[in-house]
Amino acid sequence: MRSPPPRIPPSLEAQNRRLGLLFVLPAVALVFAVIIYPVFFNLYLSLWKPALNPAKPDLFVGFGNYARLLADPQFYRSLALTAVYVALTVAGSTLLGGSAALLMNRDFRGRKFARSALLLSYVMPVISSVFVWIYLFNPLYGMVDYALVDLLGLFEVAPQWFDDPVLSLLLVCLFDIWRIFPFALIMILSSLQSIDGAVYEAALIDGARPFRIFRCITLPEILPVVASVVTLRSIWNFYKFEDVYLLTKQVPILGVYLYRTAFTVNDLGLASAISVVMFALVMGIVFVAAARRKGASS
Amino acid sequence: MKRRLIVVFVALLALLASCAKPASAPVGFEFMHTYVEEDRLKVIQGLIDAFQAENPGFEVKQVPVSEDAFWTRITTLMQGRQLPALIDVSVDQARLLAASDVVDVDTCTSVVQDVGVDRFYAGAVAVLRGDSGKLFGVPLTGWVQGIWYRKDLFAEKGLAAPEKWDDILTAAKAFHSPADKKYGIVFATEATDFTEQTFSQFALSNGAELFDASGKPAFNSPAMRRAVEFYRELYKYSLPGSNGFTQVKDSFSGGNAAMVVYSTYILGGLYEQGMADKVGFAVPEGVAPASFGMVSTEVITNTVPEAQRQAAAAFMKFLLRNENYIPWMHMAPGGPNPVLKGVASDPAYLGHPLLKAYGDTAKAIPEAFADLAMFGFQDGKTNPKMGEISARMIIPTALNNILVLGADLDGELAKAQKAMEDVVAGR
Repeated sequence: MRSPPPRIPPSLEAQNRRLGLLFVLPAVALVFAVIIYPVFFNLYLSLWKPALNPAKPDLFVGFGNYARLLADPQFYRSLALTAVYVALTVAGSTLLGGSAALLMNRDFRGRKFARSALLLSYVMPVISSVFVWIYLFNPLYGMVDYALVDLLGLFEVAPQWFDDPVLSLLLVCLFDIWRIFPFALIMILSSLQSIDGAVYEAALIDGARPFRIFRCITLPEILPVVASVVTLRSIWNFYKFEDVYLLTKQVPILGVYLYRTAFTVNDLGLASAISVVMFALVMGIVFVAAARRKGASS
Repeated sequence: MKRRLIVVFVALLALLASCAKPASAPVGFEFMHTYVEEDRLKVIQGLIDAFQAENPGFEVKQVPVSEDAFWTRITTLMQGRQLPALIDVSVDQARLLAASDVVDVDTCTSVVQDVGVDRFYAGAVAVLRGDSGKLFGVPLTGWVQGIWYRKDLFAEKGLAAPEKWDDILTAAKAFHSPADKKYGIVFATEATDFTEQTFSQFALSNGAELFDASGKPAFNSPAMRRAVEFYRELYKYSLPGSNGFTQVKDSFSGGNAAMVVYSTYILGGLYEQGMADKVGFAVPEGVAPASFGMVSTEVITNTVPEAQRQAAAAFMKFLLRNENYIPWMHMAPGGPNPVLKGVASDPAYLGHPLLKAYGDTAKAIPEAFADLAMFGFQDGKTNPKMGEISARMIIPTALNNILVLGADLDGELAKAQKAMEDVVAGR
């Protein structure tokens, strides 16, 4: 009788690999549970007309929800509004944040206080800021109407700030720019502070003017950070919901359209289709942006 | 030594097992509501403690959820098969839950029968009667809506109480002076259910029902059109814009409006401002007066085990006993009104200083529950599609477009009619 061949101990590398897999397993499981599973479940749900009561049978509609969505003029209106909203708020908040960062990068008395004060709008809970704005524009006792109508006499009758479709769009953009610009400020300021002061000194010795210094030194140094801020903010604002929904009913951007479909009309299938389309659109934009950046850097 | 350890271990396990499953484990259930204010939570917890002391076999856990997140929470819990046994909802929400077949209509009906149908105001029970004749909820309290007006200012100008449509319009014109920030009448115009509730009272006072005899939507009927025209006419003498709770309430308490359309929840604030004796209450009357109110409804769900449903039923019967019912009513005195006839005239209920200040008005308001009128509630039954029509905000969106955005009246009526027909057809 032959004895079994001796067991060869696994190599150190194989052991490490197995241990490594074991270590990443919780993270992978977490990603599956909170990202992959919801995405696929949402995709699955978008092909059905689910009953509110899960004990009742769901109805398989295939691509019916997508067909309904693409035939709905409200969807295109929301998409266009979202595009305008994202463009205005991202450009506005980045410009304002960048300008504030340049200012805060200089040395002046009370700089620490000014830096903290500028962050206030970002750290305040959304619901509080929304109510402050609603009260500011209140027709009975709001400061804005009081200043523009009673003090300055610019209008005979105050405009209906949050009812007029154009004014309300501008106001929700202004609100968002005011609320989120500190994010761009923090990011750009940290990038500005990493620029070596000697470079500026050398430029000054060479006789460069302030604008030239900004264009040839500051801007190229902060551009990668600005690009990241713009990409991140575009994604976040594309999914925006709460402040717009709370401020006005006249700006149904995609987030609001999705919420109404899911929780006012209770059409969970169509709502899932909307979120799948939104996800596809954002992923498309991210891939294009990443490819362009890769092309530019190579 | 080892054997002794094993014996001790096994004995411990046996002890643990016996602790984990006592002979008679109390039946626990969740009670979800929107009374998130700390003082109201305390009152409810006090009642729960008293109930548990009386019924050691039951355990109630209250789950307060803020009002704006309430329906979202209900739908997600429903999807996850985790609805609580007892939920405090509006009639509209109860209709939606009933349409989704998650209400234990038999238990709800038996609670009302056990308490005594005759003890309730007839209207409060009738609005909860579904197609099958069974109740899809237990009425607990209710608020009443109507025109609150400044009696003192009306007397100064010698105006009649704002009941008849013509009198309402005359008074609105008389007090309207926007340059001084004074408005004739302020009411809901935003695209929310508040506007649907306000408008429905005017429509119903003109005999405009939402469905015809065959159950087909009738939002384009001549009576409804006339009601919308009247609503638009009144808006000329109102604070411009999409008005909601804040604008309506503030304009009255701030002295900017002579009349507002609001629920009894306005009483608390006015009392604190010392305005109780200056305020009158009127029910609008076109072809007939239309009492409007909303019944706070307790829904017992059918998605929990039978034992939990019976526990919830026992809790409801406990709450509807006068000694427990009155403290519940006094949580926000004046706002919720008794749907139990006996309580409305009970000195213990009327003894609260706020209710005393309003005198006979406080006593008379609950009478509105005797004959409630409501969109979708016709011939003693609720139209099963009404909940969905309300949830989709079809009526308030049309009104907001007509009044605030100046959209064409007939075009909006036709659009709303089509949207309602889609709901009825299940599209």
